This record gives sequence, C-alpha cells and structure tokens, in this order.
Amino acid sequence: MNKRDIASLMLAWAVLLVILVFLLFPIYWMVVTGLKNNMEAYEYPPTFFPRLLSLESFRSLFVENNQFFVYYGNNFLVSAWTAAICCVLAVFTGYASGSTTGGPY
Amino acid sequence: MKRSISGKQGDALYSFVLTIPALLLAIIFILVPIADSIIKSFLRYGVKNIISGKPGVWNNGANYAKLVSSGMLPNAVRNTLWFVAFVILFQFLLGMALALVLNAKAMRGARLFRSLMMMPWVVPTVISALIWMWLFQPQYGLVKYLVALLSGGTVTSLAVLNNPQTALGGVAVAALWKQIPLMTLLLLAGLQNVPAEIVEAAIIDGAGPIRRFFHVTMPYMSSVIKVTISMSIIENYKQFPLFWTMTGGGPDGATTTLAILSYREAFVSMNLGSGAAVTTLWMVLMIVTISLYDKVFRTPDLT
Repeated sequence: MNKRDIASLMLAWAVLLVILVFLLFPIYWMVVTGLKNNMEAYEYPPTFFPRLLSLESFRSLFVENNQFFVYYGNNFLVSAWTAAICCVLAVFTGYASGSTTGGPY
Repeated sequence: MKRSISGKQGDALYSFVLTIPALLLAIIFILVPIADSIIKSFLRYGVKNIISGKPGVWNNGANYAKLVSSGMLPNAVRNTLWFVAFVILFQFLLGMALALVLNAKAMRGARLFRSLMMMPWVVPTVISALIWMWLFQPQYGLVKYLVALLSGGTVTSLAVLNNPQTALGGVAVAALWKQIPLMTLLLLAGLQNVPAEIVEAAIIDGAGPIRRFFHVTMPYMSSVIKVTISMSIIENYKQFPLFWTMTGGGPDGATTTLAILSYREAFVSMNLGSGAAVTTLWMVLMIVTISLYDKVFRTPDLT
C-alpha cells in the first residue's frame, strides 16, 4: 500500500463513520431513553448512558397499558391482509403481463 | 381455454381475464376517487354537504382563486419544492458517498455496515418523526446540548422546529435520515452492476479515480440513478406524516407543504372543496415535475 491508498482508505472510513453515526445514533438514543427512568429521561444536560438502568417504561407499556397488544394486533392484521391481497392480485396481473404475448400490454 | 379460439387471441383473452381484479381495484380505489376529487375541487362542498347529503354547488373555481389570493398556495408550493430539492440533493450526495465507500474492495466489514445502515429505513415514519422531535426538543433535547457544547456556550437556546427559519430544515433532516438507507442500497446495487472489465480497461488507459467515476461509473449507473431519484421525488412530494407529527405545518405556515395544506383545508377547516383543489393542483404539479425530469434526464443506452 502506498501513501495515496492509505489516505483514500482513511477518507473512506471517515465518510462511513460520519454517515453511520448520523444514521444509527438516533436509534441508540431511542433505546437508551427507553432504558432511563422518567426523571433521567427529562434531564438537562442529557446523559449518554443511563446512570440507572430501568425497565420501568417497558413494564408499564406491557402491564399497565394493555392497549399495546391491541395495537400490535391491529398492526399485524393490516399488514397481513394487505400483503395477502396484494400478492394474489399481483400474481395474476404479473403473470398476465409477463408470460403471454399479444395481450393488452 | 376453448380450443376453438386461436392461440394469440386466446392468450389475449386469458391475460385480460387475469388482469380484471387488479383493474377493477385500480378503477374503484384510484381512478374514481381522483375524478371525484377533481370534480369536488370546483364545488362549494363543506361538512354540511356530507351530513345532509346535499350535492355541492358549482362556484366557478372560487376555491382556486381563494387559495392563490390568500397566499397559502404559493407558500405551500414554495415549501414543497424547497423541501424536495433539499432532501434529494443531500440524499443523493450522502447516499452516493456511502454506496461508494461500501462498494470499495479494501473496505472490511462492508456487509455488516450495509445491514446496519438499513435500520432507519425499517423504523416507521411516525416513529422517526418522534425520535427527531425528541432530539430537537427545545428544553432538554440532545441537539441543543451538543450545539451549546460545540459553540462553547455561546448558543444557549435552540428550537429547531419552533423557528420559522429552521423548521423546514429540521423536518428535512428527519426525512434524510429515513430515506438515505434505501437510496444507498439501490445505488449500491447499481454500482455492483458496473462491469469490472470496463473499469479495468479505464485503469490501464490511465484514467484517474475521478475520471473513472464520471466517465465509466456514472454512465453505467445513470438508469439506476434516474429511477431512484424519481422515486424519491415522488416520496418527498407526498410526504405527510413527518410534517404532521413534527410541526403540523407551523410555525406560521413555515412548513406548510401541499400535503399539509390540503389536509388542513379539507379536515381542519372542513372545506372539502378547497382541499380537493389543493390536491388537484398538487397532482398536476407532480406530473409536470416528473415528466420534465424524464425529459431532461434521458439515459443513454449502454447495453
């Protein structure tokens, strides 16, 4: 490896690092905030890692707010039905437009 | 298929029959509502008409005239175009940079990074809006803290989404975050289709990396680039959930795009005719943009 190769490799890593931090940090922040307790989540300046790991938010989501599973079920139903209907229709139409000649396409 | 129908005709009939369900759905759920909306845009049609079932009254394009004269429509068109241009420019630059880096031979762990970087794409749009609202939060948000830290304490208050000058930019950042992964993935697929022999030939002919990029890679990728950019033009033209969750069109109409304006007119001001007028113009603008784009960027055929 000559000097130029090393320089360009370092540039590539720098670009990768900057863009990945932009893309992944918000997700890290979401997870970490979920693991903080309520007091710490609203603290300023914010803490980058929870001082006190707490699963309280998840517990209240699953136990106190039983609606979560209803919503989850709704989500599942909507995606399942959409996928099923789309697949069936797309298979017919795709077959018609792809495998036959002289059709309306 | 009956034997009596000749092969070609039979095929045509068969494929037509297979298309009927999709065709019916398209007519019922796409064409009819569009026609209905265009008709409604010329009527005075409010919530009263829905409740009482009375048909709307033709009002000679008063909906359009009001939208233009109140300055709401020009403002929304300006915001929409600004947003689309900004997001697509940076999305393309960053997506291309990331794709080139991930495609480099010397890059180790490219596969791992490729799957990691897809994460924002999987996050639902509303959730990504909430994440960025949390980051931009004016009292205890992380962005405010980081800016204060980096500026050495000179900037003490930063409310990205509450300031008319920066709100649109704030939403654009969230849109970029959400859309860069897919752009990168598609560009990466395009990069992998650039034939290695041609690149090698260019190296032997003494072309440097910059010339190789612009004269070999880019021409081979032009069709992929064209498709991805037109996809993201459409995606950003119709962007609604991000705006609605993050700013609701405010502050002071600074982030009111055509999507927000039509929703506000139709379901907040309860004036369905006016909302339909926005939608119609929006559709026309989108068609004009896409066909202009199609005309300007004719891709050369390299195969």
